[in-house]
Amino acid sequence: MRDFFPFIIAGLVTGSVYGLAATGLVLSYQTSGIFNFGHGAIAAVGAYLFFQLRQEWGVPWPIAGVVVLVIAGLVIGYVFERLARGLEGTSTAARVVATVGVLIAIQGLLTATYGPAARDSRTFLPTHVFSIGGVNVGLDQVIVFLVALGATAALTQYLRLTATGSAMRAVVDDSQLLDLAGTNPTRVRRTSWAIGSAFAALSGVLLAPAIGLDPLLLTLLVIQAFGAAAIGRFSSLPLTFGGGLVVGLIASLSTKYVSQYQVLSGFPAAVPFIVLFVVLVFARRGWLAELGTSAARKVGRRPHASRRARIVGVVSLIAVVAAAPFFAGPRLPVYSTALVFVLVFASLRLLVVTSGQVSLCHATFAAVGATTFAHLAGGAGLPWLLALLLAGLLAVPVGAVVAVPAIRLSGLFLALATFGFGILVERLVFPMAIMFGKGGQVTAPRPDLGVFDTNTPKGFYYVAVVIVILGLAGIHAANRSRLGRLLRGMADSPVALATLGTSVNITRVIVFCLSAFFAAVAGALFASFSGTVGGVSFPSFLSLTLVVVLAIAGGGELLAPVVAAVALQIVPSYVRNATFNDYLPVLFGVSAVAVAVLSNPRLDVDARLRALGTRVHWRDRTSRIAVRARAVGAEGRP
Amino acid sequence: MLALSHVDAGYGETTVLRDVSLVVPVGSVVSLLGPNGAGKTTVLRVASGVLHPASGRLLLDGDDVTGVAPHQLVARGVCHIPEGRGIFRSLTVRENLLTQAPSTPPADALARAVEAFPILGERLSQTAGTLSGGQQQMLALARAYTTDARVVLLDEVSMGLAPLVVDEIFSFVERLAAAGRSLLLVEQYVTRALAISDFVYLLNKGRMAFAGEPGELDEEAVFQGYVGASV
Amino acid sequence: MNGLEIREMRVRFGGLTAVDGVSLTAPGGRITGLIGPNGAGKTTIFNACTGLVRPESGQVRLDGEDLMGLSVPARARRGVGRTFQRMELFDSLTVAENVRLGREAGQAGGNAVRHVVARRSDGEQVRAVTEATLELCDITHIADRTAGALSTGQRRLVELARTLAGRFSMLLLDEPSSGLDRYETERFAEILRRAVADRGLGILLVEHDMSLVMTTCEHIYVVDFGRPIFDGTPIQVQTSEAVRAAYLGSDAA
Repeated sequence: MRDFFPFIIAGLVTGSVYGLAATGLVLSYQTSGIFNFGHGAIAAVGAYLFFQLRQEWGVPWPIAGVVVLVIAGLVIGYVFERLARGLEGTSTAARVVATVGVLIAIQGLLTATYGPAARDSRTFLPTHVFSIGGVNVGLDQVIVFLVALGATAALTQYLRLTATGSAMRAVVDDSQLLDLAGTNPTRVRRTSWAIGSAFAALSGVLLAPAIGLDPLLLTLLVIQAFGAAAIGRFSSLPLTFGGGLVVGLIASLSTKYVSQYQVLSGFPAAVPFIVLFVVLVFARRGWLAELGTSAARKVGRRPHASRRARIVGVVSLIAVVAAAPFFAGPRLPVYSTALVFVLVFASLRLLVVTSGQVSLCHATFAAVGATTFAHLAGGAGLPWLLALLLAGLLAVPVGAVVAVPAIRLSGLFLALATFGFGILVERLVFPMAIMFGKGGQVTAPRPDLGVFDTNTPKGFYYVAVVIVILGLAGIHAANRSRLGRLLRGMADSPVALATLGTSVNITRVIVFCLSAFFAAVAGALFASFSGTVGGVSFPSFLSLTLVVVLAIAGGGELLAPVVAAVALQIVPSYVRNATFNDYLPVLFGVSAVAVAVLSNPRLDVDARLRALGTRVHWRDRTSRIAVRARAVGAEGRP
Repeated sequence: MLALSHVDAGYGETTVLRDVSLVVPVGSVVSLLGPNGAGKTTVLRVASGVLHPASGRLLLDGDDVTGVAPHQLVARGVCHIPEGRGIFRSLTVRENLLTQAPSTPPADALARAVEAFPILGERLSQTAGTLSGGQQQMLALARAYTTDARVVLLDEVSMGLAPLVVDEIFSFVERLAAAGRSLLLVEQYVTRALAISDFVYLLNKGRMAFAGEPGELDEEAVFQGYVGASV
Repeated sequence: MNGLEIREMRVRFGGLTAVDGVSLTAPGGRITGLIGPNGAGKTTIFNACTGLVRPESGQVRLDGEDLMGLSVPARARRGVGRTFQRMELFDSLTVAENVRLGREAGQAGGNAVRHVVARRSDGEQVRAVTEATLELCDITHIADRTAGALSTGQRRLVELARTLAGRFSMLLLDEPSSGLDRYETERFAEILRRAVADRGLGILLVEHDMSLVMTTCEHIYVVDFGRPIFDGTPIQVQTSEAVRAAYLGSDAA
């Protein structure tokens, strides 16, 4: 039994920090209706700011800590409250894109400033070790646990006992009523964002010494809070904190067990996402209620290019693509990669835009395609084209698996579940032999087309052109067919589609399967092109980037994937300025936020101008009303 | 005095009110009648600043307050008890009463609320969502009394309640009026509402169909407006 | 029995009984009215009929067939169509595509293959139905416009056309005239009458525009607080004391 104690203590300590972060996340989500995917990024900012102040500038740690909390609370909290207000009334997709955009921007900013490598974060708490019942416990562990527990408990009491606390709970119940009762809901929300952001930053500061300063790791580590938040139904603060402890404990204890099994090495790291996925998929219906969605009417702005203009566009695009080997020079491989990404983006667009299913695990589909292809074409020696096709087909069941949460969940929770699924596969299945295996890499052949040498950059490029065009044609055909109408109808109103007689669950499964197929084919193509491909090419983080870049690439069925692929792959290869490329993710993230906020149907610039114009005439009307009131004869009660 | 002047208002691209003008003079009771969907609730939402008019003005004591936020109008004496139960369900009765009247000293707010509805005094620590329907409505209404509201807008406050509770609520409304507060009443108990009103407006399909004193309004015509042919 | 039959329907949300023992019959080939003050439970009755909420007890039958226990799309495929008070249009699709989907959604149904591949006969049928329905609702001239960009009046017509294009024998229309001006309402009533006369459709109409209800319905049911309080012809409803009390509360206390 005693063997477990160190694991239990370690689990409780990290779990309490997850709980702290998750509590802040739930607080801001409940009061504003915006689920902040960038919550972890705030933690990273906190940790780096603390590092900068203390280790670079020599500020004593207590002062540095206070400065970090104040900046996180006031500045970051304020910015997020503004963002949340800008997103009020937008679709779930826009909200997910916006906060994922924040995540990517901040993560990019930290990477660009401090470099991708982990910095050493010196511990600042006393590390004196003492023994409780024969188990060694560090004083720093005790302090971290108590700080996290104390902060959460203080918040709970604050909500219970103070007027602002009551107002915060009131804003969750009915923000409009709070406004009618004389309290500005915006002010209340700002306070809750301040507290939520300060909690995130604090958790980053507390975690950094344990895991090192790594922008990606910190950003994603606090996303582990998602699992804790799910246990708390995204609403109860004490349960959320408890959820953090549970997640921490399971993860820590599992390290002890799975250390004997190589195959499960990814399990501990995947625990929070298993929890997240399981809670979301198996929760009773109605147990989770998404906040803040309003049925804002989409005023469709479909491009009305004439048929002729479209044909001219497509033909000239094909001409440019075909001519690329003559102007790309040594960059031709970049163009091949970009082609692959056009197909990836087109298949993602089918899912996210056409059918309105916010999915954050698209890179996983591509990874499945890449590894399946490698095993079939490389290992089993199947013909290249057959292996490519099978790689796509074998991803179909994976798509169906992801469609299961899509049947039960929508909007935000679907986004969370798919993101959880992506990380789950990355941590748990990537290292298995069925995917990348222990070595983390697989090798795949290029096609053998006899005299046509596919081993040259130019040779393979044309192979990619053919496959990608076929893929795009397939997606286009689906879009134009009855299925396309059903999908677009489902995106607009699943209820209407169901009351017209379509079993929308089937529609959902079909679109996930179809999208997974094309993404997997793209992944297979990428594997074949790269020769050797590893899991690092398909990180779950890539899924986030894909959605964000697609969101800023506009609306065209063909144009959007092309623009997205160019922005993601080709632009960086032409810009020689390293700084620009470092900051490219920041640009993507910020643009995504802008696109999301601008998509708000309430952002009616014309109406504002009109209001300005009419304001001038009010005096004239007042007098008329006063006259009217007298005419009606209203001077006091009889 | 609260006034709407030539207001057009709606939700998104749906226009609900067209050229609506209405005056609630100081110290008087005004009833706003009309069939379902006529736009009565929308008038109140415009009057309390929840919904900003697409065109037209909202005036309070002669000042243009169009576009002013609800909580700012509250500070200027407007109190809107919305349709449904206007309470914070997860807060206790005490917390509700204090949150409802942020600028009244807590002890005063509680004392006044208990004076208006003694039953609330026995339930101070109870979660509001677990009160009976009638008690919830009393809790919601208490705000009209615990704050120093001068203009009170009441939206179907007797809806879905037992007759005895309706009596109690009407006597509360009469007390408010007697205390000199201006009232704008949307009420499905037309006869009872008219009995305490100084003025009455009739709204139909988003337009004012009638404005005048209750005596001028034929109740039969109101009913015909609800279930019969057009007024 | 031909048409929609509701027997002793009871729907509860937590402690609140939204529909309390409502029975009504809406025969085919006629327009039946369902009226009542705000919050009387009319939309909930529609939701229970189409399967969007689960009643605690009671029966719903269409042409004698029990619908309880069927899913939302399955009920639609049996022949119950509906519109929504807040309009559930496919906003990013064109008017023609909306109407088209009214038929195609049922053809795709619960069949994965039919989602992707249409039957050979479907194409011709869909085209004919779409054209005829656009014509009937007088929206052919806006067939290529995006539904989300239309006025409320046009959108109401599009939603009606979409259900008329489906293979429904009974339509539940939820406040279809709200947001329409008087002229648009009259035009709407005319289309309803024609659809009923030409195709023998049954319509159950929830409406607050009494001129529309009184001039189109043969029989009217009145509900209040989820309970049936009266039913009869338009004249009977207009002269009923019970209805009067429900709407005016004159002698309620």
